[in-house]
Parts: sequence; structure tokens; C-alpha cells
Amino acid sequence: MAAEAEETEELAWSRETIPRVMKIACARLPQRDLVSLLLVSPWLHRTLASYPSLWLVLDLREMTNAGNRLLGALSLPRYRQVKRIDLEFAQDIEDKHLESLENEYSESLKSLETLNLNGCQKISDKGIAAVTSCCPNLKVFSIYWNVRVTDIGIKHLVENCRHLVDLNLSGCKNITDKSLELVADSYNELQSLNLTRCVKLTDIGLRQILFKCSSLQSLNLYALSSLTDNAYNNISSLSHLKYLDLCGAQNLSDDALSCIAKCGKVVALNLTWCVRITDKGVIAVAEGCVSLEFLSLFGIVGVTDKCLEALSTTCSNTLTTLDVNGCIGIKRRSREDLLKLFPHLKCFKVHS
Amino acid sequence: MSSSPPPSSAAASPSCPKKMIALRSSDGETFEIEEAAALQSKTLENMIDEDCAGTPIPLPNVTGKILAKVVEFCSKHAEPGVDDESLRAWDAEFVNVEQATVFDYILAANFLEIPTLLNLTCNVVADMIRGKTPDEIRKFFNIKSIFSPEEEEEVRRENHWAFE
Repeated sequence: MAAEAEETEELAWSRETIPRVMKIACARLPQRDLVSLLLVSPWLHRTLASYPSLWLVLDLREMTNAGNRLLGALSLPRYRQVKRIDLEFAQDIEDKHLESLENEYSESLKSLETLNLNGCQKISDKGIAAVTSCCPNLKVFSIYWNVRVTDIGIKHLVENCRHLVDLNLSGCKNITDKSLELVADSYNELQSLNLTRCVKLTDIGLRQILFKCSSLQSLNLYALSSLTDNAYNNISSLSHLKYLDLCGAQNLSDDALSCIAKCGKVVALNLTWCVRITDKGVIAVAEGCVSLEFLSLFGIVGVTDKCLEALSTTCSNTLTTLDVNGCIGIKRRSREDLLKLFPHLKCFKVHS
Repeated sequence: MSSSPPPSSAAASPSCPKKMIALRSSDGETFEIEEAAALQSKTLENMIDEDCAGTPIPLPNVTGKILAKVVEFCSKHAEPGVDDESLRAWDAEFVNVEQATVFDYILAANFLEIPTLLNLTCNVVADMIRGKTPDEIRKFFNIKSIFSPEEEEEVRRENHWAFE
């Protein structure tokens, strides 16, 4: 009798208690451990596999054979409502996998909001056409460091995914102004745009973005050294701008920077190697961007202590990162000197 | 300088500073808890707003043994002036108990919607699971599995993509 009671208790533990508790506790587990739980017992499998909120993310970062893994995962019903797929630096994922996806599992991507293809260098316009045709509700698309993507791929993106708010094309060197035109025409609600190293872009394309994407909060123009004031002047129309990266903007003048300073909500500004800038531009920033938290003036030899004094009258309460390495025109730029002006500084080096 | 205790965090309450709430466990035990401590439970917060009369709130999902500890936890976390390090050490001791008890804490924290307790206890269990194979998980938690060999093979096969 006692043995029977014990067995019932043991079964209640495995059948009821464990699944109930695991359902609550496992949400914070990494994917691999979550899937391990599925293999533990049929009751755990049944409880967890049918709980959709556990399966909203598919994490295949850095995995080998990622294309086949992706297809394997999406063949399972529990991923029908997946919201985020992360393939950053995944290996062995090619257009053919995305085409298979389109043929067999297009229904599974209806809820997809975030797709990260960073570093998936084998994917080309064809793959982008295939995958974007399956995810009409995509909001965030990132495909950093892919030189095969062209304006054609972007055309498919804007036609298939009408609700994008965040687009990262950093390192996609073959994108031209044509893509920016397409993005500007399609995404008036765009909040974040990264065009780092897209070296074929010119003022013409950027101006389209600046005129039409007025909701932009984050704009990254790192290493786009052929842009000029013709475009920079119009950054002032982005009234919601908070993060602006102009690293390497060698043509940026004080006048253009003074225009940019009208973006009063800017909290992070990277002016590394903006070699034409002098006190005049930075003082305008001090007057316009009074909530500045992050500023790099790395490598700018034309600024002096005057601009730091101006900054400290408005931003001393908010500035926590200031990089003035290589700013030989500033005499008092030791750690102690800077802390006197900006008592909340924590980080003194942005650029290496 | 007034020497009376600081007012409870529910400033809108018209009652005296140290209002006590009565709770009754599933097995009929009654516990008293300060309002400030009780408010850490979203479930209790909703119930308190509706009733000021002081009749014990019945909690049919929580036994006396566990409710006593939950009251202890909430009271500690409502105490003013405890530094982070001491609290963390206290928390670590609090969950230094056998598996079944941690599980009871999780179920109680989930039912009573106490985020601090839920986070603490779930992290304990998550740490126990991380990195283990299914077989190791079974052994650790003493879980009986009745997958047939075919079922087990099927589930492994369809999830094989998740493992390097």
C-alpha cells in the first residue's frame, strides 16, 4: 500500500508538478536548454510545446549548417508564431534554403517581426526576395556586411515588407542611391537606419531619406566620406533624432553642424574624424543639444578648451561619455580636467 | 523629528500608518502581513483595494508552510534601509532549501504575482537546468519519463537541429 502511494506521488511529481513549474521557470532559459526540456518527458513535451510564448524566438547565431537547421525548426508547429529569427554569423545558409522556406513554410513567418541576417554573406537578392515574401509584418531587418545585396534586393524588401521601422545595411557596399529612394518612398515611419560603409551613396540619396523619413531617431552614416553639407544641412529636419553617427564625415563644416544642432533631442553624437569642425560648430551643438550624453570629438584638431566650456554650461549634468583623444587644440583634457567640467563622465574613449 | 513609523507606501489609504492585512492559507492558518509588504504581490494589491474591513484574504493555492515563508520574504523586501549586498545574501539563504520547496515558492510567487520572488526562484531552477542533457535533467529532478523508444526517437529527431 505504501509503495503504491509512493508511486502515485512520484507520478504526480513527474506528470503535474514538474510541468507546471517548468512552464513558469523556463522562459528565461537559452534555446538549447529549452529544447532539452522537451526531450525529458512526454508531459513536459506536451506542456511546453503547446505554450506559444516560449517559442517566439529562433536563435541560430553562429551555428554551422544553419540553413538546414532553420528549415528543421520551422517544420515544427510550435514555431508557427515565431517573432524573431536570429542568424547572425550563422554558417551554411544560402539562397536555396530561403527559397525552400518560401515553398514549404511561408505560413510560419506571418508573425515574424525581426530578421537578423548579419554576416550571412552567401545570401543574395534572390534569398532576400524569397524570405521577405513570407513576412509581411516585418519591422526590423538587419543584413550587415553583405556585399551581394543590391538595389534589387532592397526593392523586394520594400515591396514585401511595408511596415519596417529599423533597417541595418551596414557594410552592404553595393547599395546605391536607388535603394535610398525606395526606402524613403516606402518607409515614412522608419525609426532607425544604418548605412555604415555603403560607399556608393551620395548626397542625392541621403536627401531623399532626410526629407521623407521624418520619424528617424537613429541615423548611422559612419565612413561615408563623400557626403557633403548639401545633405548634412538637411539632417535638421529630423526633429526626433536621438542618435547620430558622423564618424569620418571629412566634408562636414561648422555651418552644417550648426544646422544639425537644431535637433534638440540628440543624446549621442559621434564626430570622430570630422576634421573641418572648429569651436564654432561644437558651441552650436552645446547650445542646441542640451541633453547630450555621448560625444566624440576624436581626432579633431581645430577645437579648443572654449568648446568644452560651452558644453559644460549646458550638458554637464547629462554627459557621461566624452572622447577628446587627439584633440591637440584642447589643453586641459586630462581625466581630472574633464571631470571638473563634466562630473558624471564615465567613459573617456570611444574610438580606438 | 517625528518618531512614528514612516507611512505605508499606499499613500491613498486612509488607514493608520502600519496597516496589517490578514491572509488565510489553504489549510486554515492565518497570517498577518504589513500592507507595505503585501503590496509586493500584485494579486494582493488588487484584493486590498477592494476591501478595507480586515477579513482574512483566503489563498486556497498556498499552504501555511509556504505562506509563512512568503510573508517572511515580502516583509524583508519591504524593510527600509537594507543594502543590496545584504539583501542578496539573505535571498541566497532563503532559496537554499530542497527542490520541492523551491517549486512551491515558484507556484506561490506565480499565483500571488510577486516579481522579486518569482525572479529569484526561477533563476535558481534555471541554473539547475542550464547545460544539462535531457537525461541529466531527469536524474537531477527525479522525473519519470514514459516516452516509448519510438516516441523518444521521434522527438529527438525533430529537435536535432537545436543541438550543435
